[in-house]
Amino acid sequence: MTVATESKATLDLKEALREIHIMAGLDNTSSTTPQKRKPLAIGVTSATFGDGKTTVAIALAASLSEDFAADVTLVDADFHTHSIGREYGLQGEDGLSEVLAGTRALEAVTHRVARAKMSVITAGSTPADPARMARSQHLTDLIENMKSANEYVVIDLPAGLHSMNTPVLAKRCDGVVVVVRAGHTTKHDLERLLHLLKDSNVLGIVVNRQSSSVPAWVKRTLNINH
Amino acid sequence: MISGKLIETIFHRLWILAIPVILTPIAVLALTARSDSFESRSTVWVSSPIGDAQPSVGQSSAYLSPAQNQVQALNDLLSTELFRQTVARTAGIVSANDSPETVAAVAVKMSISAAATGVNLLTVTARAAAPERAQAIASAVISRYQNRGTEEIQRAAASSGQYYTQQLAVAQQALDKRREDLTTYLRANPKAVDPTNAASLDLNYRTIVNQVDQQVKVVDGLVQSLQGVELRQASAPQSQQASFSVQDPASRPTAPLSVASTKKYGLPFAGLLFGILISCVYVYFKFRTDHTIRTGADLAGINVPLLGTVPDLRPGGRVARYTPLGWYLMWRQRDFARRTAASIAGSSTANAGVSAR
Repeated sequence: MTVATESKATLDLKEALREIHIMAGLDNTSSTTPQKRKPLAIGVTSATFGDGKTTVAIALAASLSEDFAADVTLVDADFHTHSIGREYGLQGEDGLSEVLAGTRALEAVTHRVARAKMSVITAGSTPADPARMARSQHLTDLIENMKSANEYVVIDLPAGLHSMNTPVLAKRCDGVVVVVRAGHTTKHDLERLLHLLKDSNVLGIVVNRQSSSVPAWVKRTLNINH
Repeated sequence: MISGKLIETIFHRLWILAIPVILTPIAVLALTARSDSFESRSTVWVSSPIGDAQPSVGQSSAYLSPAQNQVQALNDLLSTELFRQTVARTAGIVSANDSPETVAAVAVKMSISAAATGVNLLTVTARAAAPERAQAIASAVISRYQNRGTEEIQRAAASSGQYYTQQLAVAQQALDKRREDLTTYLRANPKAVDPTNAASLDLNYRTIVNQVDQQVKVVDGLVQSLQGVELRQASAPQSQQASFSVQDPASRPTAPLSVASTKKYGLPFAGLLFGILISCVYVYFKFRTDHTIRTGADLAGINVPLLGTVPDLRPGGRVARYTPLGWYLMWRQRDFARRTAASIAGSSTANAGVSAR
């Protein structure tokens, strides 16, 4: 039963992500003339912790890799939580901060996901001065490097209202996806976050963890559409 | 058009909303439910004592009937703790071994009332869990009230008797003194005794005689008053019975009191309505104070497009969502959503199959 449920959950998630690909303009397969995709760096952020931005970033990277057979690198730029490293069993491994500090090469901290065209770069150790690191030219160069080797670079940014590095990092991305948690993120927090990201290219909003307790027949009867 | 968010608020908290709707009528039922209650009544004929405007207990009002005057006095007594405790002891509800707290608690709980049912009729009603107890309480109330009346008469008479005795002694002394003055005068003027003699018209003689006569009247009046008081003291029980006579002794109820349908069904129904009202108020406040984003519709006014919605990924599916199984699975698989996301590409478990490039 659990296996079947997980499969259903995976299918639902994939479908949701395909909608996001289309809506965010990440899907260019409709182009009549086959052409090489322009590499994109996509940042994923949210207003506060626990909204699910890391989950969405992982899912987005995995689905881009799976659906488009594209090379994707998932980068953990959230030095507060180190969630991606923990998720992929890479706790304590060197990562982005070491590359930016110049102590490790990019290739040395890039981990390949088995049976997928996807790589993972952890956050590494917490940098002493993340603000300066976020503003450094080295980071811009690093993102360009990653874009040259991948079609998509998905960057897990810190929560926007908890780290003022987020707007700086977001400006270095080609586009930013804002994750809100249904029933948790307030409109006020979202507006504050979007104000902080006003200089970035916000692709759109993803409502995460959406669920409805209203039975289908009630929705039909009352003509409620979500 | 009904707000989708409002409907979502209602269904999202359906169990919370159900709590007051279910619990309030149950609480009302629990609070108003009583065991069978038996009622005993006793009717008493009351009258104002002849020649005495006051009833034996308390004060009377000329504007009230004898029954109303007695009811007032009886209700005054029933509001006192001591009288109720005396009634409880007389009725045998409490024993001599019971602690004062127990006696006080039992006395306070006794349901007794008195009401005037006519000009000269008053009814004493007692309610209790057992018919014998109700009857005993009603009888005890009347008995104690009668005793109280007798005691009041006797106490008042004793007090008056003491006063009259003292006054009589003083008056008797004054009479003796005046008689002695008269005797002394007559010894000096023996002719004054003869009414045909001019000496009998002497002003001093007439004054002394008048003083003696007046004092004799005073003494006679005091003696009469004292006799009246003694009579009243002696006949106190009889006079109390005459002014407060039991017409119908306390009955022994054969069936418990019936509960009014309003009380039986009306109060729980009112509780149900109150529970619904509580739920409605709760929903209203939750709806009005919920500023979170739940659906794409909540993004109206924000000039950023909605890219899509990611469903709430939980182990166990929708069936297990609100069941202990679902909660257990959620606790066991706290990172279910993240693992599901990672499983889209590569190995099914995220932290396996990662290697350095």
